[in-house]
Amino acid sequence: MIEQLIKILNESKLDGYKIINTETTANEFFFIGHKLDINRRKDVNHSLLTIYKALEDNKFLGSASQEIHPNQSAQEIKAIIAKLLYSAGFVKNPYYHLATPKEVSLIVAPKIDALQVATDIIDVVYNIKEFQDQNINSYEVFVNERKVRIINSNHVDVNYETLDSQIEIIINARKDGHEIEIYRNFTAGNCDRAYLSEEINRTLMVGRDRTNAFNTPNLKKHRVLLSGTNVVKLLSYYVDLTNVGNVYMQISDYKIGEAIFNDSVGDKITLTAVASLPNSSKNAPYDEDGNPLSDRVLITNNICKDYWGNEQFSQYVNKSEAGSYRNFVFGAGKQSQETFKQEAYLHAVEFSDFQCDSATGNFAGEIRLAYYYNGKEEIPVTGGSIAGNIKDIEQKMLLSSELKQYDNYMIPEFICLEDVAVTGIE
Amino acid sequence: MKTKYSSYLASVDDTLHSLHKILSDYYEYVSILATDVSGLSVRVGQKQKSVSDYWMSERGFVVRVYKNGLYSEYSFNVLDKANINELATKIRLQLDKQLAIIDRKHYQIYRTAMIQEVETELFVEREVKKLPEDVGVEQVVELLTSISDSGVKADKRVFEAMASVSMVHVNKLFISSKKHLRQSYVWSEGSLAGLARSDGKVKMDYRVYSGLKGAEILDEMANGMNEVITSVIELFEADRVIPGEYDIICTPEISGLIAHEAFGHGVEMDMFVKNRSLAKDYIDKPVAAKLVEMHDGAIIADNTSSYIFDDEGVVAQDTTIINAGILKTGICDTLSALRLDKLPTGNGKRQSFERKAYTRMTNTIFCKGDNTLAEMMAGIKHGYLLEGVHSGMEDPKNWGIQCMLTKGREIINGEFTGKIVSPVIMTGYVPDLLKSIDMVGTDIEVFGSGYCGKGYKEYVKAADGGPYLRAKARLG
Repeated sequence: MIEQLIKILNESKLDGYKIINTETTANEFFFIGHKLDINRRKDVNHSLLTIYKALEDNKFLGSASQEIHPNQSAQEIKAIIAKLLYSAGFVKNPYYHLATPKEVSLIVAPKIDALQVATDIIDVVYNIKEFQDQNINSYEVFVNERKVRIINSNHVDVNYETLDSQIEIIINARKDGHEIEIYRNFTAGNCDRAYLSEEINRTLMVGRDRTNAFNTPNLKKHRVLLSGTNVVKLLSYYVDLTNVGNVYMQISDYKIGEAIFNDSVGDKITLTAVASLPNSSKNAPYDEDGNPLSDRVLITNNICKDYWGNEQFSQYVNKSEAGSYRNFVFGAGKQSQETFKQEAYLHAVEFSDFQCDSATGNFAGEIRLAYYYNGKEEIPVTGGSIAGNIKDIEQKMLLSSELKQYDNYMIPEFICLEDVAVTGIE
Repeated sequence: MKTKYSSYLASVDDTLHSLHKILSDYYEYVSILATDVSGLSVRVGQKQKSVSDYWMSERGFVVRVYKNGLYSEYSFNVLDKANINELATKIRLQLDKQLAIIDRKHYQIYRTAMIQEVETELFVEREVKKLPEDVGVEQVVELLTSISDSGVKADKRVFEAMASVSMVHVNKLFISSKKHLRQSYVWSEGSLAGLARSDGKVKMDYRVYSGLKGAEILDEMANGMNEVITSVIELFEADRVIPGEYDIICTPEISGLIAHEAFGHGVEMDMFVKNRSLAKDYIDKPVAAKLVEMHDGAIIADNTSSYIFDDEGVVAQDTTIINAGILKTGICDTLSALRLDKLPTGNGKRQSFERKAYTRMTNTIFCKGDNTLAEMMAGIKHGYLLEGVHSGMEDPKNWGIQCMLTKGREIINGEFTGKIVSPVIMTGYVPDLLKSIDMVGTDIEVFGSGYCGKGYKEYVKAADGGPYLRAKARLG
């Protein structure tokens, strides 16, 4: 089908085109407790076509895109191309050129049996030691094998294969007739049995602590520790603000060679975009434009060194090399997480949904489990919320010296924030 | 204007019936859902324009089969009419390969009864005022450009004003041994957003539009940007709320968010099957103030989730969830209904043909009452009128609720003081919140521009709404 599409495109009067073809095979298993609820298999083929049209003597480049379905006839495809070409005429974006082929030597990863990966994940969950008061409620396993091919009218024609896995798992914990649940969504490449097992065991303990939790005190402004995926969500702010799309749209005011914020008395931010991380679900040798990816330093000690993003916006901000990255590595801080715990703190570990808005810097979340240390003892607490704005707290932010990988992010495992608003329920 | 049923789905109807017949020789129950969803999305800002297919457009098939108490599914989008026997064989082999592992590992099966259906033939082409295809891309881009331009001209602090619209044509075909259902309808959604910067801080706000409608949505959006920009600019004057419990008045969009997060997710009955919902133990018990009534159903509003039949071939309904403050029932997909010995309520939805069906909300709405906004404000000594939805998250097991809101307008002694707080995080225990409702407004608004997830995946269109509500809540 792709060859037919390319032939039709080459016969059409166009200023450019791009096709992203993705062939996905998925194996999915859904469990209630440890009983199989339903099994699913998926074999799908998607082709996203973008047509480009130069306008007003190459002052603008219009584009329009649509999926070409596998069963569409040559006549239907021609009609879609004509429609897209017409639509592109009204999309006056500043001119940019499509990606061009680049020499790259790839290491081809060994092929992994996706069904075996799914089996391994199920096996890990099945063998978790559960307790009378902490157990696995249900889980869903997804393993996708993808073959991706990216082609454009500038002779880019690259392809690669990926494998990614996901397990959504619900843990129950109970005490004195009261039951709570903890939600986890683990994504990765292959099944890392040891990591997955450790994380599920840790989640069972989080469930136990939550059933023992007291009400969160009304701490007003307090020292707050975040860890794990909540750190990912907060630090993603810096990833987003180094993206060329946000720079071009003026959502980000980061300038290369300048500090991303001043008057820092905490740990400074160092951020690198990388093509791959061990067992990341987002590993891929090329971005969506067909550009090969190699490691790129974005921020060093608070100084913005580079941006990342797609071909179009990279050219708009005069960035010579485009690259839409999916894996990111943050530098460690100077102090251990244990040092953070020497003064009073609220360590929030479980939220309903912790969020950080990249445009405004606002962050907030309702606390489902935190550990409150008043300088004498640490107790589990629940309820209430934390809220703040990253621009108000980044000067004093401390990053732990311990790093840990969460799928496509390598991050300091803990961050310490001063003067965060904590609403309690007392 | 009638929204014409997909010629593609019409062309594969016989082929899918053949596939159904072949698979029925091997399985005890077989159904096939075929989808053809297409749409135009246009987005215009000062810096960037785009025209594309609607991001959740799809064309494909999902086969559901049943054997020995277990349901299995196969999703695909390549259909070779000449080789339908080969496709049937492939489906069998791939699913059997998966089950061989389950067998070999001695994992148990959650056995479920077989779906029982009654003969149903349905063909519906719904109407809209203006078909999307009757409005040219040129006209849409031109209108959205003028809206965007008006936004940045309104205030020098505004650095971007975005206008976007999606007009989506949904076609679905459901085939089983007793059902042959076909539907065609169009829904549209739009949004206007403004971004402004002052003293290094960025503020953003937006307005949304949606409905079971076509290009007429553009008329509604035409003059909306001024309101958005006014709202963005006043955020620069906002303070943080002093954390605590307050009298609140919810605007209809906040009422909708509460309906959706508070009891919508909590009464999705696939959660009952997994014992993941506290609501299961509260049927026929009070959970809200007596003046509270809440419904869910694809037929109770004309919005983005107002279909004729769901993704499991169950005809859309109206379910009373809360009546006079008493929790009456939940909403239910087909397999959960079989497991709970209930009837399905027409709430089995898939993100696309590629995903599993779950119990999902459609239009989740608080019913109207008798109170005006002035009456609600009159009794407030110190509280807030809450506006603007950012996001919400439920906790059906514990009835916790988290709502991220854009702003609150301070009310003291029944009058607005002019002070604004932003952003606002509303948290609390759902029954406490619903039992604190003491006034319900007279007019309902429904909002369908959002996407609802199950956990952090399975995104589907869902609408919610209600009237103004007065209650007490914890703000932070």
